[in-house]
Amino acid sequence: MSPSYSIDQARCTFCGGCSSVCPAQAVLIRDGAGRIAENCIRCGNCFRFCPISAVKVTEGNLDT
Amino acid sequence: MKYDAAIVGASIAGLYTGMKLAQNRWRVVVVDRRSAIGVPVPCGEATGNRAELSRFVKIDESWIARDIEGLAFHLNGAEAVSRAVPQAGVVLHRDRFEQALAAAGTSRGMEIRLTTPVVGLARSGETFTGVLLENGDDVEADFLIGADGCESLVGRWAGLTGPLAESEAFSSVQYRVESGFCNDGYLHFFAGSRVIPRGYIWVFPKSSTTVSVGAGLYGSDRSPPRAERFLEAFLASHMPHAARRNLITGCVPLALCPRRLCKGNVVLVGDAARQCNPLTAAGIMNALEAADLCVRKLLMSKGSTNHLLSYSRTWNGRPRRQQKVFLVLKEVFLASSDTEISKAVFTLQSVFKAAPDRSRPFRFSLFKLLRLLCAFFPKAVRQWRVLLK
Repeated sequence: MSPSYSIDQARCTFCGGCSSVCPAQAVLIRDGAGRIAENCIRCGNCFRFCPISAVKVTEGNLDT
Repeated sequence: MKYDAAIVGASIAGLYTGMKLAQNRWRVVVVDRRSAIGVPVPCGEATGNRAELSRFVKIDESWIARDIEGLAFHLNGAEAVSRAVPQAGVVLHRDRFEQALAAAGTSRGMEIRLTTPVVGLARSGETFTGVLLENGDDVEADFLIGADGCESLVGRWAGLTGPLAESEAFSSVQYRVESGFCNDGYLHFFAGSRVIPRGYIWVFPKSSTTVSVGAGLYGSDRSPPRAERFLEAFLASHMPHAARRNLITGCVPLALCPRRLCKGNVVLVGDAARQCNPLTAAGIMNALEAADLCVRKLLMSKGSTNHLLSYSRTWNGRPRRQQKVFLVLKEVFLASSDTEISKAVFTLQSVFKAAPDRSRPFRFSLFKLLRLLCAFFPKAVRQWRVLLK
């Protein structure tokens, strides 16, 4: 099962880096809130980019 | 109400563009999803010197944090090169700087809408007519200016830019630290495979008691380790007991700026147009320079888009050529061993031995950059394709 991702609001600093590398424009950053929308293609770019690990794997695993 | 220009992004490029257009009696609106101007500060805040800055704005001492007095480069913990460079630049209070730009703009009628996310561009046939807001409203304008940083959503909606490849994104993390470590007015850079492979750590002076300490990693197609990990290790070994404040993260585009910076009435400036230095990830002066050029072309364009193409053409000249050389240097840096980097630093020192123009100490000539490339000839040659882009 391919992984899905979510943003840890407590850690996120809303810099928009994850959104910059998202090919599906699925990361929605708002003031004080970030979320990954339903059109996420589960490529994991946001997860790999985030310098402070604020993007979490919420289901599935990275090996599939 | 229809505006002359709608600017997406209230950071340096967007605010400067808006301020200058407003000063020329344009009806301007700047929209940003953030709730405050200049917060959070997304970078190390070091930029050009007072002479360079004053080409664009009248300097107010309240937004200068420190004068930069020199540069020091450390390789794997040892100081490789340290050089006094008087008037090298300044470290800004970037939040105050951006707030000053905003105030100067609004005093001339510029409108700023914060907490206003933009979700797309409005079209009528092939023409872009405005920006669509998340609340369902739209803002109509003759010109749409994308200054929305590394995400470059306006550019993506207009078909000018795409998402950054992982290898094109510089990820960074920074703390403000109360410490006297390297707090001598110099910009300190730490590199080397034992400190931070594929990146560098910076220690920039901020006040007499605080420094900005950050780590940045050049993107990689392979899963890279986090910049935060290297920063934590660095802080633990050099400033273990220092109080940390203001965690910030950021993304800098290291891609070559697109050849087309405008499409119809849509124009890109700053990080959104990828107008950064791909080696140092610096972007403040580039943003001001590009915004200034963009404003001049927009003022000539009033009512038509004819002059906008010359914005692209002008930027495709010297600035983009210089960017290519820095892109090659970045690739050479990443492909080099610690020993080779050490040699390069000494070459760099000799290349810049002759004191450059004091008003522009970091304005590298292409000749000097090419000399530096020649010092790494075999590795630089492998990157020749970049020069054809």
